[in-house]
Amino acid sequence: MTNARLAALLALAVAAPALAEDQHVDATATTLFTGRQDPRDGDLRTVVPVWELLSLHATRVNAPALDELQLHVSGWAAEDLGDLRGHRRTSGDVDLAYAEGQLLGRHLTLRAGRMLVVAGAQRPVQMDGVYAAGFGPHGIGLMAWGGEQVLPRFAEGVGDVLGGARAFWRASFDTEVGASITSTLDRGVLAREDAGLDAHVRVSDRVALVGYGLYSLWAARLAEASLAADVDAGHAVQVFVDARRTAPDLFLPANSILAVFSDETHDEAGGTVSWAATRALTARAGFHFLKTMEGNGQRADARVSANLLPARRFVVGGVFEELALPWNGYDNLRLFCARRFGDAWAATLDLDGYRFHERVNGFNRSVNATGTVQWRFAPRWRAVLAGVAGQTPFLDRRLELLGRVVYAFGAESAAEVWP
Amino acid sequence: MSPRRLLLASLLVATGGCAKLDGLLAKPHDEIKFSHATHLKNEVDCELCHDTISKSAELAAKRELPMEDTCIGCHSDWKEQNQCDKCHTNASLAKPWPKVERLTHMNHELHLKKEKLDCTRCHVQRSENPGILAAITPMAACTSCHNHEESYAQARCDKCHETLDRFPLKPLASFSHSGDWLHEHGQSARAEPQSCAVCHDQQTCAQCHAQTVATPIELQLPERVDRDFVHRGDWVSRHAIEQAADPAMCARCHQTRFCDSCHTENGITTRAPDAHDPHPAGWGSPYAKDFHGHAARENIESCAACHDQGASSSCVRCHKVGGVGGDPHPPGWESRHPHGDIAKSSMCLVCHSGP
Repeated sequence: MTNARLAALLALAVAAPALAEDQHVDATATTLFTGRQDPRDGDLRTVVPVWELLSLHATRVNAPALDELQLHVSGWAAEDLGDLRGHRRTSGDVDLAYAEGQLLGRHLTLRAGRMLVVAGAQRPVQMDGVYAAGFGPHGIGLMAWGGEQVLPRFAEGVGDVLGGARAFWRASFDTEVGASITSTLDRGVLAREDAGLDAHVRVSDRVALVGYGLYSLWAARLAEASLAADVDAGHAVQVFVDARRTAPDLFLPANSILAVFSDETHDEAGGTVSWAATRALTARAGFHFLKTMEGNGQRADARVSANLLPARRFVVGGVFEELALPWNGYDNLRLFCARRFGDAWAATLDLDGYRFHERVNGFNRSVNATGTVQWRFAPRWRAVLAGVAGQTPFLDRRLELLGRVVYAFGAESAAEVWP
Repeated sequence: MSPRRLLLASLLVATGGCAKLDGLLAKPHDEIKFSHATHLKNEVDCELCHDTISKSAELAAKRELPMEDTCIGCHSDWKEQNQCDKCHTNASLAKPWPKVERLTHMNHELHLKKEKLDCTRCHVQRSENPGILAAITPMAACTSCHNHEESYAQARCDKCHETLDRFPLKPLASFSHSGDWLHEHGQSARAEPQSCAVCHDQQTCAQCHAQTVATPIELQLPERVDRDFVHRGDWVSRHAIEQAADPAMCARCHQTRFCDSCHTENGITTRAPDAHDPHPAGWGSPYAKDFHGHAARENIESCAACHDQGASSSCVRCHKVGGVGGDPHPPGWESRHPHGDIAKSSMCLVCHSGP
């Protein structure tokens, strides 16, 4: 990360209280450190990175000719105090940095900078570019975006340019249908080109349907299709039934040498039932049948959570998961509890165990325990200390320590949430 | 100290310096004793005390409340006789009105012109406390004049509301975050992205979906034992199983280079200095049960996690035109990709470099 970027974040950290005088500002500063073992091909390294994360979201910023202007910046810098995690001791990046304006009576939204885009055929993507969305009469609208895809870490210097558009009709806040197209280039070569249809339709007071279909134009095949029904079954029971087909090979970019090796399909079907038995007790169970090219399998899970004291002051819960495939799978049991002591202190404990159906690295068990202590030592300040201990197929003895200190510049409600 | 370390240290100091420790213990404070009922009964005009309200074009952090000079205008005798307790509960701790967060857009100047200074039109009297005017008007007061059906239907609440995430709203019906929301929310986000934006800013999504995040959210929030996280638990030991269960799962967020980098560090890929072969016996033999051709057809993404190096990929050595590996394309490939497409793609030309 360049000195200029760090300096910009530093300036924002200083400016945040000044902005808060007239505008609305949500900002947090987080100092995070961990100490843990990092196994690398038989070597055990001790990595102790320290991060500083800053996030600032300013709204109602004065701007001529605009109904509203928002600024959003978040980023981080890190220093490796122990063994290197990667190839550099200092690192950093900017997660979000955009300005968003609304005009024409808030019928048009324009955004420029580093942002996330997700809509229709566009899977969630982080890009440096521009985005525009407009509402017309009768709920008809159009959104369009274009820019350069943000490089993930460990990536080479590839410039991915992407663009897309989605036309939609919004009948109500929970009924919308859309058609979209998106395209990504990698050094001038087509990497992805998809067309999509999506819909979220409230059929009745109790039933909503949501679905989308994605067609790969370069491969001339269906890339993804999903259909789900969200049913309010009454008596605080909610049922979600879904079926999905994906072509996993089409998740590789078109210019990958391996994109031409297979025509895969992967199907899933099943559902989840949730039950809010009382205000204090919730339960959930789900099952999905899996059909892959390598064979059939299943995924099941069950979860229960109980508030033993009012205002979620003592929460206990358990989760059981099973994943079964022809060649391996696992059973997982997790037990957790969270307890608040007064207004300032809280503690959690999380016990997590896996049993693998076939050995992983020669072992078929993994057991981990995570404990945390949290302390709100002043208004808008919060500190968390966490320790992890366990044994995994790759670590005889796993020990990790994590600390976090957060300051919220904005309203108290912008601060982090207790469990 | 290097410039970079100095900048990082400065960042830490600035962060701490900008913040004020607002008291470690709860302290006594002053409250103003005031009765709207008494003043209304004595026909005191609202603007006599709230003298700036008729010029207020936007709700501001500074509340439109009268200062001491305004009150003394009528109650000078209390001030002269040092009867501070007539208005203050703890006069020695008196300080200016605290700032509050304004969550709606509101132009008092325009509204007062239309309503001819009738404040009670919107600031309705509370039925449980007659004479006490509600400082914050109920939404029904706004909608008694404003037809916001179109904005409401389109979930464009930001015309009036600064943000909805301050309200104790619970997502209901279609937006209920119950169930397996972790796996279900993507469908709703694609179909109605602007509905999500009503309550969530991009930071919420970026915590998981941004490529540049400092650490996974599971590492940042270990105390959130109640939340579902994708990488919760011993992800390293089980990620290969999860990838086989849903080959697209990793690829939704990670490019193959992300996988390749860690596999190289752990000596699994051919690019590692002392690579050890993770493949089973018979991987290279077309007659063996574990022949790699079957795995490639069934889960090419797992191959890509180590072997996706473009023209340098090890697959090219055997599978280029004229090589010993034979045609790698799946059945039906030629019907969707005519021979003329080869010249359009530099990646195709890696293997189809002959005439």
